[in-house]
Amino acid sequence: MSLIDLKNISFGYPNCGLVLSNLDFKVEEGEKIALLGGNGAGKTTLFYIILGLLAPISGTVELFGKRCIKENDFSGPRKRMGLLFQDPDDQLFSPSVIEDVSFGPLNLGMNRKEALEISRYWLERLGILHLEKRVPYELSGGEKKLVALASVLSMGPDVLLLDEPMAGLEERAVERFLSVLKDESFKAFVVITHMPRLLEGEITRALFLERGRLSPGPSC
Amino acid sequence: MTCEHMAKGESLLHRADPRVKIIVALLLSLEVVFLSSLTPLFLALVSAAFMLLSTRIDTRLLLKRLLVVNIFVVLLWLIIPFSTPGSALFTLGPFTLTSTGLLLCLVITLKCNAIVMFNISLLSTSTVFALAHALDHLKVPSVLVQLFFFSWRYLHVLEEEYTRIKRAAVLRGFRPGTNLFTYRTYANILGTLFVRSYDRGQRVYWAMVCRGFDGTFWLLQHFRLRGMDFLLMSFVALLATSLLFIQWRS
Amino acid sequence: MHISEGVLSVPVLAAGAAITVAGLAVGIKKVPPKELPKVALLTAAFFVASLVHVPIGPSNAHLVLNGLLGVLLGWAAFPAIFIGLVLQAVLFQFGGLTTLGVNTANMATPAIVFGLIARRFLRLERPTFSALIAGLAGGISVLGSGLLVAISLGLSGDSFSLVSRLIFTAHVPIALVEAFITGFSVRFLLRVRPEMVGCTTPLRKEESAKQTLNAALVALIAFLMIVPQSAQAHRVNLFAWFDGENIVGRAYYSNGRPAVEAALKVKKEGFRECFRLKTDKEGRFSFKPKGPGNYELVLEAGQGHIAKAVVKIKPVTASRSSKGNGSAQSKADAKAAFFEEKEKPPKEDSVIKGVPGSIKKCQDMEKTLDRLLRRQLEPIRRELEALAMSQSRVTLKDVISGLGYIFGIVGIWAYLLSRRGK
Repeated sequence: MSLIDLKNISFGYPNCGLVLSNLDFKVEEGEKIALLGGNGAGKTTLFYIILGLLAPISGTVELFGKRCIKENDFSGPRKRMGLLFQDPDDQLFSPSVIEDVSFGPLNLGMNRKEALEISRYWLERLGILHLEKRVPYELSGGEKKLVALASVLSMGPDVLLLDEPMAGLEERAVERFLSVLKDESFKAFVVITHMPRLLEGEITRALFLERGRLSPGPSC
Repeated sequence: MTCEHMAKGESLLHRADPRVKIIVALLLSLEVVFLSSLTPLFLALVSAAFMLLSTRIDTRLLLKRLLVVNIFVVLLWLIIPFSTPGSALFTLGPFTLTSTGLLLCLVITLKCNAIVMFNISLLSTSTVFALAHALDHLKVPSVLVQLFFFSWRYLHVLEEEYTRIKRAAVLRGFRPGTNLFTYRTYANILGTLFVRSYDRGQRVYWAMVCRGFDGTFWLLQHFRLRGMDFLLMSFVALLATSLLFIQWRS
Repeated sequence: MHISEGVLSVPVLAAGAAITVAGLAVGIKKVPPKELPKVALLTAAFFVASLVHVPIGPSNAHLVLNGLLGVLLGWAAFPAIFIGLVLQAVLFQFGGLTTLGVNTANMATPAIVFGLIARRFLRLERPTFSALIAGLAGGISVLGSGLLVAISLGLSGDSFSLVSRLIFTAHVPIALVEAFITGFSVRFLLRVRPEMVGCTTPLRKEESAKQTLNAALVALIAFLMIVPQSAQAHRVNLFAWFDGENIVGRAYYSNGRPAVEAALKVKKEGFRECFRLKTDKEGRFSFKPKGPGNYELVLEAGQGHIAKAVVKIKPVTASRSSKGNGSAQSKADAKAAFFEEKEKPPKEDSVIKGVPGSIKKCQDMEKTLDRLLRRQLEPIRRELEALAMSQSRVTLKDVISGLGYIFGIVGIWAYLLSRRGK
């Protein structure tokens, strides 16, 4: 059973022509994929389609072996996938870091105590526990990114979809992030990045998105 | 500009329960609106000033705020004493100054400043987030609280975005003037801001949905009533009753 | 413009609060969880926009942009504006908390009414026309708000009438600038994110026809409301009387402006011929009628404005009757018979040649009396003129009641439509 199986996907924004055309994308368990491509190629759009935030013009989306068509079909898989948005401000909206990171676990049904525990664990893992009580919008860009990452990881997803996770991070933060990626608890991850060399050694496959289609990228 | 300078402090009012403060602020403001005699109004103003000073907020900041509020009041002072019918005090050409007009202006000034001072001392001493949580506890419709919450959250982001877009225009030679080109440029800048806000609103919703959001907001911050809250409530109750009593007597 | 604390009377505050509560109740239903972040973000955007200074002449003005918010959000503009005002009150002490109800009602009501109407007319394929409509909505919304602010102040006490008039006047230049900015903004949005203004794909033909019909209906209703008012406002009035010697008078419009060089047609009852003259630069006229009778004056002031007046002159003593009677006249003499354009030297001399001196002295006395009376009655005549003028003038009250009709009917229609639409 593939974790993600997209077949023949086409999508275009109004007045922009097709961004994705007859695209196939499959992610199996154990895969670690780097998604590369020029600006505006449609990489973020592909993530949105995987999670059902945008509906494709044609093609099918299968997540964890099940066809997903309506909004309801996606709600289960969404809880098992962690999408890190490109702009952390889109993701953080609570008045404190700890509240933001516990948002996911609470929605998963954990009680307050469990949610706080797991949030603190991930903040510690990423080295930002000292930011626990801070207000997210007062943090620096890099700090915000780490908090956003923590808020995705705290849900314990099986699959990670990360949109430029290392942009704006300093060296120590990148190290922490990579050490988390090495964690076996993820079944697979797909990372959109412009710096594939940083992920050298972690990636099993690289894909290039160009003119609406995916092609194998330079081998890592 | 939209930083919460005044909410940072350690005074009694800063530490009081925001739910109590909201109710008290509402009560006092409404009461002052009903007052019409000078004595209770003066008393209200003095009490409000006392509360404001007890917060130990930077005086310069307070004066700046009060100045802004009183600009409209000054405007009224220039017009109303001359446009109110009543017993004339003196005449300057076609303008007649009446004592009724002066009295009305005084009443308005006292009311306005008393209410504003009460509000600053009670509401500006808590963060907007705390106030939003308090409103939710006070059973204000959830949609309004969430709107309040999210608007505040993204205010700074949007302020920055606007500054960036405007700066980009200025760096390319834009000089605002009273002409159509200026208005069109502002329309484009604001239009860009609106579009970005709209798109961001969409993404924020998606981000919440991706983390399993189903409409319920979880509040981790819960309030507890403490001794100083009861102190505040008793002080206000005393003040409110005295004001009403004095008003009724005069 | 927001009104600060402590100014308005309690009834006005209460009425404003009631309207706001009702508006919020409807508006909240229009903000499902899916739309909430978008509405919140737009509320924040408007807050930022309202802090923008735009140059107007020698100074600057803060933008209001409530019209644009109405176009973008429809009924959701009520909670959006409400929250925006709460933020302004809490952060800057702009406006106030006791005045939240009134301020929200003043800003949101025109925004929603005109925003919803304008939205119906916006078309993806007609950007300039859409921009014009949006600009109109933007400008009128600001004027509407200004009017409501003025009314709120005016209703709080007579002392505020001058202030309220000043405040409304101050809104006029701002409304103009906002009209431009709103129009340009909508044009921008149509190109970049048309779904924000409700234009996605070009409408199907039937939908488009229905929408056009709706729009035409609204326009018709609005027109019907405005036209009688404006016709009233431009009515021309004719005031004429006989002062013993001449028929004098004045022609003026309802707003007091004189009807300059307007054509006046005078017809005496029983005669077919008409005499024409023109009013002078002050709208006044004067001519000497010959003989008693009913004189019908018809003023034609251009653009189809007509006013009529009838001056009845009673027959006087025989010594004063002019040459010739009314009835037994040939056509050629008719005009000369009953009109005299200028003050000719009194013809009485030719008639009364040879009459004894005592009768002449009588006539002199009468002439003097006439002149004296005319002088005395002249100021009274002018007063009556002024009274008649002021009674026909359109006052602010009339304008407000007219607007009230428009608001009311259009508001009800917009509400019903928006309920059906969603």
